[in-house]
Amino acid sequence: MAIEFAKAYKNFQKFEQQKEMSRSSVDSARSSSGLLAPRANRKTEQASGNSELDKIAGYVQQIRKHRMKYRNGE
Amino acid sequence: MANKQPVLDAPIPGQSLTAEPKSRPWRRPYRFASVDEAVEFYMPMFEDEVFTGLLVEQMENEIPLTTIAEILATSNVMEGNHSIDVAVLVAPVLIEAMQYVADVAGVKPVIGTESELYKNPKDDVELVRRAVKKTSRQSDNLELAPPEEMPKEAVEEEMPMEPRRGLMAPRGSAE
Repeated sequence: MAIEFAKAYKNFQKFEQQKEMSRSSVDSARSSSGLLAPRANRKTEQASGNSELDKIAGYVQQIRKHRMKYRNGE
Repeated sequence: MANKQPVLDAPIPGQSLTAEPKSRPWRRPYRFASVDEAVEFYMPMFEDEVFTGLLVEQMENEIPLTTIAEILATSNVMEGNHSIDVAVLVAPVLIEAMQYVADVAGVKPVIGTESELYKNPKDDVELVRRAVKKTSRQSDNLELAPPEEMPKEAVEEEMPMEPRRGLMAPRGSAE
């Protein structure tokens, strides 16, 4: 069973990587994200931040910020 | 004649339905239905000194964080706090929080995703290091153990030496 949790954690890490990749690609294509932009761009913007995994990623980011602060001695 | 008894000791089909409805925690609605509620439930645990102390102890024993997260989450599923789906979803948050605790305690934890670690020849060194650590611990225990007292009966009294006689005896002791 612990293997399942390890897999879940690995999958989450993959999800985070993909999210960062898509974020960077969205940033590069932000100039075409208006009403007249292709539908695919608008969909990705709407879909991000709604799923349960996005919530988890938010919590993990908060904890990581605290970790970084602790490491930097703040 | 030997009695024919069923080989398998499995539950009878439908046995799970013989208990009263809602008599088991996992047959009632979960206390925390969403991930947010589950995170709110878990996070105060990491502020508890007793909990973090025990956690650090386990991390020092090189128990993987995924295993600890699994034990924590599945025990709460058993108690009816949340579903197994929420348990798997919450696992990364728990692991990250445990890493934070490890940072504060100055421990380098084993996360549990390093299963392919031992395929590398470099990491055989790690296995050797652990084996040496284990044997040195054992030898320390042996050194620390109090020396056993010799039983008095076992101590033999020194017998008075009789002068050797015979052809091969040294000349001084011959007479």
